[in-house]
Amino acid sequence: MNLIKLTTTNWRNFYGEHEIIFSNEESRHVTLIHGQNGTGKTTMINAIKWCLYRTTPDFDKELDKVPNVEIAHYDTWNSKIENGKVIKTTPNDTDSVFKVELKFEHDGIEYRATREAHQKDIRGKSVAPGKDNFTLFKKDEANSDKLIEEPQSAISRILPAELSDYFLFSGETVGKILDSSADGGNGYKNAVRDILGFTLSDIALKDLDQLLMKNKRKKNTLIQADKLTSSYGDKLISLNEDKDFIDGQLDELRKELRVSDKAYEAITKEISETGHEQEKKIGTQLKEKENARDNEITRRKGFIKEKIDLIEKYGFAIFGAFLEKAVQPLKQEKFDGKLPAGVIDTFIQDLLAKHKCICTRDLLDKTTEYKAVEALLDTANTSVIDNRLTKAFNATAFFNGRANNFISDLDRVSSQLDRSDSLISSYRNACVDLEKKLTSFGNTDVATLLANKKALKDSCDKKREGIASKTIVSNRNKIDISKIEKDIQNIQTNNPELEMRINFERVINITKKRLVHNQDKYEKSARGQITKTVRTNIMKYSHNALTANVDENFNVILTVTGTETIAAGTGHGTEMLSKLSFITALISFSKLRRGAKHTWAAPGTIAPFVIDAPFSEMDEDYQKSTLKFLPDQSHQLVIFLSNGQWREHYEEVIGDYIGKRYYYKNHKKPGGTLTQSKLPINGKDYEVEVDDWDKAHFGTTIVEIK
Amino acid sequence: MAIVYFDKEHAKIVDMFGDSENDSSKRIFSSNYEFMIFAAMIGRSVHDSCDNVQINKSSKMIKEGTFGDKQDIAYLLALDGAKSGEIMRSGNENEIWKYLESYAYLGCEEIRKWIMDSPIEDLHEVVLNKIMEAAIPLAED
Repeated sequence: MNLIKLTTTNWRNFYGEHEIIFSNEESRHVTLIHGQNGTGKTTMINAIKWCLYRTTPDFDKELDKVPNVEIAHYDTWNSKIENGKVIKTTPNDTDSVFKVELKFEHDGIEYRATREAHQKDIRGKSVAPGKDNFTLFKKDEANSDKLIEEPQSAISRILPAELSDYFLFSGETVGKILDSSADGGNGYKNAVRDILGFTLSDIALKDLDQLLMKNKRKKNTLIQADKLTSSYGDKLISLNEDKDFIDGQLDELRKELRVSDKAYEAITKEISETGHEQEKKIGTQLKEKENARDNEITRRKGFIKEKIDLIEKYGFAIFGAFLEKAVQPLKQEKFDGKLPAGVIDTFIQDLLAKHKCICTRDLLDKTTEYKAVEALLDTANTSVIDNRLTKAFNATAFFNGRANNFISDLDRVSSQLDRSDSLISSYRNACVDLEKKLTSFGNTDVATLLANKKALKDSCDKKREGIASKTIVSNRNKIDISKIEKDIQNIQTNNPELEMRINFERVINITKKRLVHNQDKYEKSARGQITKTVRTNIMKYSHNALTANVDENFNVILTVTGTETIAAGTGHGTEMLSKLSFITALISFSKLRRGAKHTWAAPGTIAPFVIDAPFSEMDEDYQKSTLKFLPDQSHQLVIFLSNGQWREHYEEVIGDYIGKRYYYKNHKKPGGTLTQSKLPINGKDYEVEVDDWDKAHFGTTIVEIK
Repeated sequence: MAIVYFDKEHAKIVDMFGDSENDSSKRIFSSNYEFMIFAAMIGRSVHDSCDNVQINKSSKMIKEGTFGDKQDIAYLLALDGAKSGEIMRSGNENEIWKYLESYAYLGCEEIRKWIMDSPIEDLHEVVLNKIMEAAIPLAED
């Protein structure tokens, strides 16, 4: 499918008739439409959707509040222009028709789809059923318009409504479209498979199952009716009924399990994104570092004490060391018996007590001799003196070798302190870093999430157990059925219809097996190709070292390169990049299979990629990267780009691909505030906002940039 | 029983170094007497005589019984000061302790200078640096 031209009449804020001609040039297949926010970029995508599918456009909340805004030019609801003047009108004004016409090409044929309705037929948010008119024409060989009888069916064959969301979408809703958990994963996976061309083979498989079931019923009736096999018949029917019942239950359980598994995956991802596990880990690390820091601080205190103690231990000895030398002469005198005198007091006291001098003279009391000897007591040595002198000299022993010991002890303690200081500092820095990390996690109710996760896990486990036990019963049934069928085959019934039914069953089973085998092979190869493209985009353009994989449900899984760790919290920019990469890779793959007409799989769906606000939540780097790969990987690309997100240097990336280019001009009431009046493109400023409401236009008009 | 005194002027210094400091981990000396011996040794190392020192007795006093084996240092100091064994004679105790008190006074004065020269540095670091300065020339290779 290729878009050719979109024409709108009185469509919402686009009063009157407006058109966008889409580029179909091979190398310049990009149509770029610049528009201010709120001037109708999504409105135009919705116009295409309404025209083709009559779907209610997905408006944002703000517009949602305005009554009757879904369809039609709400700005002009009570106004219309006559002779260049705005005049009042009413919702019932029969002149107020709104219409969208889309010209497109599919498989070499040009089509023209038109849907129109009247303002008066709007009910709530849409047009009353049956009140809109849809027509589809195709050009025949003579280049005349030929009306297609069932236009909606024809559109479904070209681009089914359920797939249109993958080709016509807003960047802001891409997450919702690619949410594989939304409906148990089936809708999303089936849509992707349809785009890849599985539609026909999936229908064929369903048809084969139907055929098998019908054939089985008839075969069993024949077995029951035949004399030779009738004894098996009842049992076979009963076993088959049991098996069908259990298989039905198994299907239900598997479906429920898929939903629960998806929910479990989602909640695990959510918990992972809260950083809970990481937070716990960091919390533990912080505690360890804090303990280590506190222990080291205690150890440091010990070293300080040890250092301080050196003062008492060595200080007096080092300052007093010279005393050893200073008292040396006195020590010598004592040794020589001259300190203080050669006589000791006890000897004198003995002489006085015996009243006999050493010279044998008597020492009578109060005599001159007695007093002379007694006077010697004042200068005589005493045991007290002796004792104190000994102590004084012995005290010098405190000083020996103290300086060396002090220096070495101080060195030792100082280096222990240095080591301790450096450890404390490193622990402190680590604590600060970890605290910073912890504060970045914010507050999330992880407890509730964890409780929900546990409940989901229990539910999944229960379902798995149920599936396992029911599978055992089903397999047992299968074995019993197969035994009976083998027995029947050994019986020559001479019943050609029964033989035919048995053979038919075998052939259908073989066909099914081959088809499933081919599907698996093709799906694997498609997944491989898509993975390659997405991986290249992510490797080239992501800010982080990430590797992309596409899982069996077509979810893009980003892992930290070189590891198997799921990359959590990569940011919305990266997420958007991966989602856009996936869609373009999908389209790219379908494009490759454009000519695949003779294989069992139908060619994939090829449709233009129409996107509004693709840069939602992306930074400039990502925006530029996206503009690089989108044109390369698209078949026809239509971008509605916000003026605020346009940078002149993007021109160098996308400029060469642009075949058609437009900008929206917003017409305001005279005297109104103009928020952004110029749009710079290729060195020229375009006027995007004017206050000429009452001159000829109001609302938004589309201007082509040639 | 003999009692020795620090000078009133040095009460603050005694508080900083002696056992009245609250935080035991930061206490530099285990007792005021240990500090007195240390201060006296510093005093003696910078002054050859303490004759002119007059102690203005403060409440910072030490009773003889708490001296322990460091009492011998007091005898050594007195012997060095008096240059005569006579100082050791019984009855000269006041003289002996006078030497200790006076040199401790001179030592406290010296310490006060150290503190004033390095007002921001940790007290123990200041003192250790001074001990190191004194130790280096004494150290044997």
